Amino acid sequence: MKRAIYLACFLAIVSALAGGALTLANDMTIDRINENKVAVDKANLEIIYPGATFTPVENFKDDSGKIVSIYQAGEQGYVYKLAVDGFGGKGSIEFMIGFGSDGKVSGFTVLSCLDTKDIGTKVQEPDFANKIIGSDIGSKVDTISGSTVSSSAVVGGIDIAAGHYSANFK
Amino acid sequence: MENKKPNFFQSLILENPVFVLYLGICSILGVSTSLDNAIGMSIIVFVVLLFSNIIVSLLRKITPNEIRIPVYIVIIATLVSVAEMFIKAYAPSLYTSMGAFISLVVVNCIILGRAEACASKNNVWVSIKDACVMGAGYAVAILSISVLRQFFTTGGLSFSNPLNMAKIFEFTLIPEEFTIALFGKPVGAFITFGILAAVFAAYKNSHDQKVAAALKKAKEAK
Repeated sequence: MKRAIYLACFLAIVSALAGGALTLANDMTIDRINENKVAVDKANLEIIYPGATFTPVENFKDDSGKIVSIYQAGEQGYVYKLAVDGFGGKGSIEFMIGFGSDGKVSGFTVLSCLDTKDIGTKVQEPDFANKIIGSDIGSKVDTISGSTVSSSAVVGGIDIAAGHYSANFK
Repeated sequence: MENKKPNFFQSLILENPVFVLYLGICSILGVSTSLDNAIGMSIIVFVVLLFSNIIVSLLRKITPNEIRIPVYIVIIATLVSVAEMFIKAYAPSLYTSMGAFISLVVVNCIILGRAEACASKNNVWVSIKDACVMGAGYAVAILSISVLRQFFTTGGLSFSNPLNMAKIFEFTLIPEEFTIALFGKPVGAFITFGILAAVFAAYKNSHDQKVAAALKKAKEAK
């Protein structure tokens, strides 16, 4: 019995020391890792919130699998990056949408669209973005006639992001 | 002369952990597609092996025999996680290209094997020397496989600085239409591994025969 307790204590001490070492390494690297994560999307995030400080949101829950990443833009709001399935297959349209703390959509930009040129790619045109930007978060967004598959995919993605935002950050 | 212990360079071949002991093959087959990955992996394995050997050797007198394996695993897993964090922070492109194989260093048999076979029984200095030989042996194996695979797949070789992705060198010798895409696939990894293991085994056999012949001659002379 004594031996078993000794062994358990020894393993517990080794594990505690390992935990300490990991915490130290995490503290030393976390800022740099976050910077690297933001760096990938920095240019696009700047379009929505120029000059803001972005922090990636870690371990968010997303049952839809469409949300790629979420960034907090200081006090101004949150930016969602999503990949939705348009006409070009799984994850064919990538876009970002910003939700401001004032309850409005603060920005929308399509990062990539592999859908049919001049049909699916209509989601990249400023007309579509202008309809979304400034609208209330969670309000209905109309799809584009003649580009139903692609725009429906984007609108579906916006609804997912708006639902997630309302449930977690509002 | 032949009876003396093999030197460092002979040890790399005669005691090569990959081609002679057949340890740590999983990561070699998985990431040997390019020279960049191979050098990154060699460095990670060497650093983890070195520190695990040092720590295991330092703790060898107080580690209870019954729980030595869990203790080694905790030490190795901690070292790999620390290495992973630093790679993610300072060489993100290397982290992306190697993916899960960095975490899989935890179960690399060379590291646990050397902790058990050498570091747990010897002092720190011997353990450091062992880590150097085994780490270098692993590097020789993965570099030789990756050089062949990248050469036949792309027709040339290239190497980039993992910290900033700046190209250090790049050349192409074989025109694109003569490259063999098979070598970039898992089956190519097995073929390359098999050929190199045969070459290493041939060298080892001839060395062993020479040593045996010399021993016989010395016996006869007596």
